[in-house]
Amino acid sequence: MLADLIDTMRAHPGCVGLAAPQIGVAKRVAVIDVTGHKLTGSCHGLLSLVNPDIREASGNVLGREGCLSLPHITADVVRAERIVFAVADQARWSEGFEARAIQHELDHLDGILILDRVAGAHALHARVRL
Amino acid sequence: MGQDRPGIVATVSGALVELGCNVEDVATSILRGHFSMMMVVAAGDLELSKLNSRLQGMSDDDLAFAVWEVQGSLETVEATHVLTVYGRDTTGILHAVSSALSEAQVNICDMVCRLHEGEDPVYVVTMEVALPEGADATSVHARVADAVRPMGLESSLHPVERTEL
Repeated sequence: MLADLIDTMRAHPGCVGLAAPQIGVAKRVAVIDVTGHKLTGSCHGLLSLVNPDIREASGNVLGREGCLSLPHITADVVRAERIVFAVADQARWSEGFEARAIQHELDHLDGILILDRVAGAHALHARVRL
Repeated sequence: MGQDRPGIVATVSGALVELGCNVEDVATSILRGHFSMMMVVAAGDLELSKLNSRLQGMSDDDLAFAVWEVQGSLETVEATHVLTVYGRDTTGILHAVSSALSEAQVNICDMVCRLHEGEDPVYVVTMEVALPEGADATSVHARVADAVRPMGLESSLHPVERTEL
C-alpha cells in the first residue's frame, strides 16, 4: 500500500502528500515528500508515516492549500509553523511547508478536509488550473 | 444594486459628497454580474427625503436604491466560529443551516455559498458566525449536523483563529 501511495503521489505533478483514506483505504498511513517544492525550506525527503501523531505544535501561519480530493478548490488554512511528529515513538520535528503538508495529510487520517479548516467565509477559492 | 459596470461607486459617492455626506462604512459584493453595495452614511442635518430624491434620480441608470435612517448606535458583531457545510447540491441547504442557527440564537456575520464545479460538484456553505455568550459550540454544531445529515451533507464548526502579534 505504501508503494501505491507513493506511486499515486508521484503521478500527480505538484502533489506533495497522499493519505490512505484518499485512495479508499481506511488505514492510518500517509506519504509526504516536499523535496524540490518552491515553498520548501527544510525537509526530510520522502516520509512514509504509519500510525503517526503530532506531539507538539507551535506558531500559527495562514497558507493556501489544495487537495487531490477536492481538485477544483483551494482554501486558506491556519496551520502550526513547527511541529513534532512521531511514528512508533520515534519523534522528529518539522517546520514550514513540510509541517503544513504533514498536518494536512494527518487530517485526512481523521476524516478532516481543508473544507473543515477554512480560515473564514472568504477563504475558499476556485482552482482554475489543475 | 444593479448590473455591474465600472463607475457605480464613483457615481454614488459623488452624489454623497455633493450633499455633504460622509461615508463611514461600506460593504460590496458582485454576484454573477450583479453589484450590490451597503453603506453607512453620516448625513448631518440633511433630510432623508433630499438624500432619497438625489439617489433615486440616478435610478435611470438601472440602479436600485433603498435609504433609511439608522436609530441608535451601530454594534459590530464579531464572529466567534467558522461553520462549513458541504456535499452534493440540493434544494433547502441554506434554509436548513440558517434555521438551525437561528434556533440556537447564533448570528451569521458573513457567508459565502458556492457550487464548485468538477467531476463531482461540491456545494459549500462557509459562514462566520457569532455564538451567544455561554453557548456550547458542540451543541450548536450538533444542531446543524442533525439538520443537514439527512440531506447527505457534512459539517464542521471551529473557533476563529486569531494570532496576537
